[in-house]
Amino acid sequence: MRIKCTTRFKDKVDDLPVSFEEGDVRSVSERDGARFVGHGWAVEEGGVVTAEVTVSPSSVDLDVHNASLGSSDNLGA
Amino acid sequence: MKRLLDRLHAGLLSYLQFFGGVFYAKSVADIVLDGALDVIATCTRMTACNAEPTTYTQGNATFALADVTMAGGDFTKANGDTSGRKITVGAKSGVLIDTSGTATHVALLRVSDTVLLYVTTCTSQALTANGSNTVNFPAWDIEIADPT
Repeated sequence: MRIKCTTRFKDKVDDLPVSFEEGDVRSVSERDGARFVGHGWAVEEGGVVTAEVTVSPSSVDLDVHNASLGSSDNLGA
Repeated sequence: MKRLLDRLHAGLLSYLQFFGGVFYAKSVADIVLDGALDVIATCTRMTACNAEPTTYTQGNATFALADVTMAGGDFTKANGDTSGRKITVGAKSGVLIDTSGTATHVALLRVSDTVLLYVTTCTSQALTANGSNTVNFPAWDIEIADPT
């Protein structure tokens, strides 16, 4: 799927972080493309509309995961 | 006779191990764990990132989607939920989203000497920047357990 970015955004493609600039035309997977278009960050090149654009809320909550560190010793081994 | 003494010795050891775990336990003073948590509390910036940062530059710029200033008062130490000690990072609401993207990580940074102090994960969340959209960071904690 080819998309044209309508804003600058940072995401992942194939699990690798990628930065997109406004006006960029990129080939991405159908899944990523639909997600980017769905968030309103890009449009499908050629003006074909296949993904529904969701209006982004003015405020969103992060679900930050607590972290736990163990401490142990190895008796000098 | 020697066999009898050996059996008594083994029995005594088993008793001490079973009932007197204190003889074999490991421990750490709170001030040792707090020392590490105190370093985390020197954080002066928290960022939401679209990938796991491994350097200060990545946490502060390359992967950063939103950032908020932090100070010592945003961190609270207490006994750990499981054991040891923990530090709670205070909630931050209404943080302006600078760049659109999907947040997957949260980083704690010390700006003065450009140190990436800590990175944790968050549930994937799309953030859309439009000049006024904001993101809310909940309180979260880092716990260092007692030794095992």
